[in-house]
Amino acid sequence: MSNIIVKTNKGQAGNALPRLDGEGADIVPGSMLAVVGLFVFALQSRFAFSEVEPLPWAWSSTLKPSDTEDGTPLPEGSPRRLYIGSAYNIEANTRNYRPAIIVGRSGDVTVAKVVIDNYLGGIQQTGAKAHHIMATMPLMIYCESETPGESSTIGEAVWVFLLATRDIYRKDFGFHELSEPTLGDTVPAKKDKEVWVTPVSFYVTYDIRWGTVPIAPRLRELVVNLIQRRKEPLEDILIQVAQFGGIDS
Amino acid sequence: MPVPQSIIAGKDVPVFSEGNFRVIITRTVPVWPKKIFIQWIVKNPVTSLGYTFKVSRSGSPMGPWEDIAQGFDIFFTVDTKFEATINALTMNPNAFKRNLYYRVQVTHTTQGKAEAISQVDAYADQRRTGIIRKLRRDAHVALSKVNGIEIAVFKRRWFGEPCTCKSMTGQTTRAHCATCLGTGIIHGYWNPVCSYANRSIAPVDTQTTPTGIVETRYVHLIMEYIPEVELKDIIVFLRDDKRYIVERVTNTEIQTVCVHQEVDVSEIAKSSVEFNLIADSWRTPPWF
Repeated sequence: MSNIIVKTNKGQAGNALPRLDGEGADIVPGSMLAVVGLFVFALQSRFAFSEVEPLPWAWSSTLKPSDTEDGTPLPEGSPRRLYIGSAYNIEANTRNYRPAIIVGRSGDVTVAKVVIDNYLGGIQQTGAKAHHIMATMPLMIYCESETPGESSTIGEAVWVFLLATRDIYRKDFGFHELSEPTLGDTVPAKKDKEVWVTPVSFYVTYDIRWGTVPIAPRLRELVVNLIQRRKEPLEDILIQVAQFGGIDS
Repeated sequence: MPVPQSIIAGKDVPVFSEGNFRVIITRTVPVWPKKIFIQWIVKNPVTSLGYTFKVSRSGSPMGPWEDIAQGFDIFFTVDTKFEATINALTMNPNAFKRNLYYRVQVTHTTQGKAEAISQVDAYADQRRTGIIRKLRRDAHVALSKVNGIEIAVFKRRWFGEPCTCKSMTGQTTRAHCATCLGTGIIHGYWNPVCSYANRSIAPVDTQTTPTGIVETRYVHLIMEYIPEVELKDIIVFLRDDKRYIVERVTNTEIQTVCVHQEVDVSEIAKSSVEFNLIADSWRTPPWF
């Protein structure tokens, strides 16, 4: 992460989970794509080319195999371009490309009850209630290469990176927990040729909060107040109801 | 289309002769796992004396060659350079299928030179030898003139000088190493052998996996008996530059002597390191 500045617009997203600049508007913080996107971005930053710590592989936004952007052949010994993306990517350009790091969800998102009926509190007058629960999402990072040695080496780099930065990501991205990652066995997979995959698995736990406001009591309150206080402009009454769940007496 | 630049296109024959005489390898008898007996004759000899021989071996009939004996005048030798070691520095015969090729070069004091190349092969009795020769020739004619197209066979190196990317564990950590092409052995592959093969048609299969859409295409090849291909050898079809990795080989044999090969291969992705192999067999002089 040394050469990449993570810009977030914390505070604008409406909850404790900040969002990256350029993050899709339809992707809700805490959703699978948001969590996967975070780790895709983190790994792309980790494996971006660095003069300080040159690696045999470098993430690049292009997968052009042997040339630089202007067509000049890469010098001998240049790092192999690494593909880092999310699981189930159907881009044709990434098909059968190795080495690759693929980030995906690896199972069910489960929730654990932390308070009775997930109930935090409520407003008796309006019937509004607040809820809270902890969700756990398992994640799997597949480190794929054409040789078992390279696959395990990339897998270990990913594993150590996650292990060493878990407190940073937990703090900055509002995770309740980011587990110590598990480095799996390097196993062959049959594709167009024999390739090798080293899985790195871990899970993240994060808050889910939601509120419910019954509409019928509000509407009844609105009607009663409109009848009683016709002198007040209607728009002001509607704003008060929407923002504060009631009307100032 | 011209014949590819290759001194041995599917033929196990004398490849070079300066004078009237020729050298023909008559026996390559393996005594696994320790030695291989090689015997030859000189056809149309000018004199009965004055010949000196040099015997070399390789993993491909196109070399490069490693000398195992030279400067002698008897008509056989025994290759004992086999090691049951776990490193890949020397030829290790433990695998089921390990093909070796021998080259015998003969020099006469006054009449010039000749050479022949042969793969380690079993031998049949005299009657079936004729049938084998006929079938091999038929296969060559059919594939080169009727239903085959030009290929280059890159036989993978399984022994040789280790690459710097290979650790003491035997694992290479750079699949796209420019020196060894991920094999861990310098150069990675022996020199290509040009031949002919018939390729079946097959659809591209796709499956969606966590790592994206994976494309696979398995095809079936019929090819000549030389070079005998092994697991992980690369076959390049020179007309469309599609490259295939050998998955399974079935030899058609008479008295354990190979007549032709049927090979199951898988097309490899164009991002694979094997696309770094240079296969332009019409280049003069050849690139390899």
